[in-house]
Formats: sequence, structure tokens, C-alpha cells
Amino acid sequence: MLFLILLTIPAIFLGWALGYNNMSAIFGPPVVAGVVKYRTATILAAVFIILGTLIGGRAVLGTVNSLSNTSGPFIAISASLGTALVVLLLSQLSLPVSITQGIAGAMIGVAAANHTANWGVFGKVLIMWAIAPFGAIIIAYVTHRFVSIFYNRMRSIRARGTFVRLMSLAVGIYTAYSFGANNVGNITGPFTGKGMLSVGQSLGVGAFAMALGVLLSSKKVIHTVGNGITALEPFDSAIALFSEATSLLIFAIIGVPISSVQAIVGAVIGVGLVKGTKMINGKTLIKIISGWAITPFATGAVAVIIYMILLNFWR
Amino acid sequence: MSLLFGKKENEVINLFHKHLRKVKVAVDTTYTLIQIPSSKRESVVKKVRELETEADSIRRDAETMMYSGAFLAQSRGDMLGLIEAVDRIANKAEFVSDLLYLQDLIIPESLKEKYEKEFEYSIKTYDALQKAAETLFDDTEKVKEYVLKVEKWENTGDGAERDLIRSIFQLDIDLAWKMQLRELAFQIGDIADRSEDASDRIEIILLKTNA
Repeated sequence: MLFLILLTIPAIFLGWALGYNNMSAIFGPPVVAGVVKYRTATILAAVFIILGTLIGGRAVLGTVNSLSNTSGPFIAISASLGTALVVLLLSQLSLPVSITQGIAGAMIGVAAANHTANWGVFGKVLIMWAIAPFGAIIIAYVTHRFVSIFYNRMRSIRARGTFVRLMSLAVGIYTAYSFGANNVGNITGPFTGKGMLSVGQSLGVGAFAMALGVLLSSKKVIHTVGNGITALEPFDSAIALFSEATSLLIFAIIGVPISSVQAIVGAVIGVGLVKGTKMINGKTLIKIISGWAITPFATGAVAVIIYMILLNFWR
Repeated sequence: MSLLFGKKENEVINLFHKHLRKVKVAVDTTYTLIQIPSSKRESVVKKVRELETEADSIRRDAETMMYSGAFLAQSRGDMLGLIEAVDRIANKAEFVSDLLYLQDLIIPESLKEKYEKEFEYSIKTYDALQKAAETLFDDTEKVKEYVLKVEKWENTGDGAERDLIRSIFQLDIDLAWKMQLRELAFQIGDIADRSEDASDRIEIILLKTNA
């Protein structure tokens, strides 16, 4: 039991970091708009992340695990710890970092060093990563167009106010659920298998870690790590979050972990297309894309080093 | 904080309507100063000052209520901007009344009708603004109609102001008096201008609440 707990410390850290940093992309807009109190939002986020993880997280769990044809504590610890270290370093340097891409890069790196990489699965994941932002753009565009038909027909600002409030709360809950379903694989995926955690245990640990992250997140994080989402008008931000959540859920069902940052950036661009506004400038976009490109290589390299050290130490 | 557009919002809206009515009385009261002899101005000017102070007090109550959690955070700034824009109309009415009273400004009989006309256009502009603001939360289409009326009356008032200034400078009176009269014409026109500024804010609120 103690071995299992020690084994999952890096995973719990990653889960905590995911929850902590993504609170703004889950419940940021309703909190900033004053629709829901911050503390209530964190509790709702934690509850629905747990539900999303336990109900819809199974498929993604399998995909992350299958990036390597063999599994074991060394691979899991190397991938998880490698990702955790890179996430810590890049965050300190204020560079955008995706834990999703980090863990996949680390897993495939260690597996490649071990000659057990499942390149087919990795290829599928890469294709899905490329598709994800465009999917979010399309979902945001279509949803915005569709919902705004009904919204603009409401002639009363009172009715519009109530509609936006209810929508942003519902969307926050939906995003928390989708977030849990899509991200659990990144946290405990590598630790799932013979001699490690069962699927049920993996889901439980992942859910606990992410819920802990959002519960310990601070109000300041919502404003500072907003990805621009909280700067949008309440209607637009609710649509953007809905699109992010739908992307996360669709990919959770397909079984591919995607970065929530990728999804939200796509969603914000989609909302911008409807409004005829450029929501994200080129410089920011290049910074985000370079973060996505660097992370898997960095985590892969660090994870391989940790793996080699562990192997030599064990021998 | 409330999920529904509820009690707090309605309280702010009620205060907002009360403020609009108070400003209306201040503007109407100022208008009477044009019609009465200068010897009877003192009590009316005092009344205008009281009305302006009362309007200020209502505005402050509305603002306090707003920041205790009424409206979505993003809308508060716009609402605040609107109520302050309306309040500036009361300030202008007070300024006009002071201008007449403190300078003991005599309006030549030949210009009285033109001043009344200009002031009436300013009042009509304000009336349209008041209706736009009162319907803001209930019917966005009607609001747009009233906003157009604000623009229409403000433009008409501009014409009346130009006509009045031309007439002022055709009179055979001291230049200083002419300047005073011209200043009065400007300030009366400013009531309409400020009403239009407030109606611009209403338009922005409408645009921002559209998806």
C-alpha cells in the first residue's frame, strides 16, 4: 500500500497542477462575473471533476497507458516525474506548458528508449492534437451562431441577464465534468497496469488529485491564468467554455487526451470569428504553439534520463 | 450574487428610474427661469440646487447597491457610466440656473421665444432619453426607437441654438452682454448634448448585451 502511495506522488502532483492551473478555464467566467461565489465554484468544480473522471475517464486512461507496449513502475515514475519537473521549470519561466502533451511526450520517450513505443497510438494522438483546436473553433462558431439566434430574440435585458447567468453556471459544471473525463489519463494513465494501480484505483487517485488542485486553487489564479477567457463578454465566454468542454468530452469518448489550453484557444478564436474580431494576436499564438511543440520533447528527454538513472540504480 | 436577474437588480433599476425623474424635474424647473422675471429667480434656483443634490444622493445609493452585487460584474461599469452620464444633465441644469441667477442675466424680450424654443428641444431630447433609459431593461427594440428620437431632437436643438446665436449678434447691445447670452445658449444646448452622451451609453449597453 505504502509503495502504491509513494508511486503515485508525482501523479498526484500533476493532477494537483492540472486542477490548480485550470480553475480559470473551468469556472473563471462565472466567478469573475459574480454569478457564483469563488468557494462555491471550487466545490462544484471538484465534485464534477470527480464525477467526470469516474464516469467518463476510462477510455483516455487506456490510451495514455498504451503509448508504451510495456508498463511498469519505472516507466510510470519516469514519465510522471519527468513531466512534473518540466512543468515546474516551464511554469517558472512563464512559458505556456501543456501537461497533456508533456505526459504523452514523456511516455513515448521512455517507451522509445525501451524499444516498446507504440507509434501507431502516438500517431493517432498527434493527429487528434492537430485536429482539436480546429474542432473547438468549429464548435464555438456553430454554437455561437445557433444560441445567439434565440438570445438576440429576447427583447428584455432582464431575461438575457438571467439566461447568461444560468448558462455560464451550467457550462462551468459541464466543463468540470469534461475536464475530469479527459485529463485523468494524463495523471494516472502511466500507473495503470499489472503490479501498479487498478483502473478503479487510477480513476480514484486522478479524481482526488485534480479535485484537490481546484479546491486549493486561489482566486488570483482565476484572474492571472485566464487565457483571455475571463476578459470576454459573459455570453461569449460561456460559449467558449462550452466549446472547450465539448471538445474535451468528445476526445474523452474517443479516448485521446487533449490539452484544455488548445481547446480554449480554439474556442476563443471561434467566438472571435463570429464577432469579426481577432481574439488572439500572432505573438501569443506563436508562444502557445512553441510551448506545445517544446513540451513533449522536453518531457521526453527528462523522462528518459530519469528512466536510465532508475534502471542503473536498480541494477 | 444571484443566479437570476432579481431583487438587487430591480432595486437598482428603481433607483435609476427615480434618478431619471429627479433630473427631469431639475431640467423642467430650470426651464421656468427663462420665463420668469429675474427678480423671482432666487427661490427657483434654490429649488434646482436641491433637486441636483437629491439626484446626486439617489445616484450614490444606486452605485452602492450596484457594487454590493447587483448585475454581472462586466455590466456594472456600463450601468455606472449611464447613471453618471444622466447625473451630468442635472449638473448642467444647475449650471444654467446659476448662470442666469449669479450673473443676473437679462434675456431681451425679442430673444425670449428663441431661448424657450431651444430649451424645449433640450427638454424633448431629455424626455426621449428618459424613455430610452426606462425601457432599457424590458424592450430593446423600443429603446432603439427612443435613442433615434434623442438624436433627432438633439440635431433640431443644434439648429435652434445656431439660429439663436445669430440673432444675439444681430442685436444692438454690449458685446459683453452678447457673450453672456451666447454662453447661455451654449449651456442650454449642452443639456441636449449631455442627453445624447447618455443615450450613446445606452447604445453601447445594447450592443454589449447582443450576442
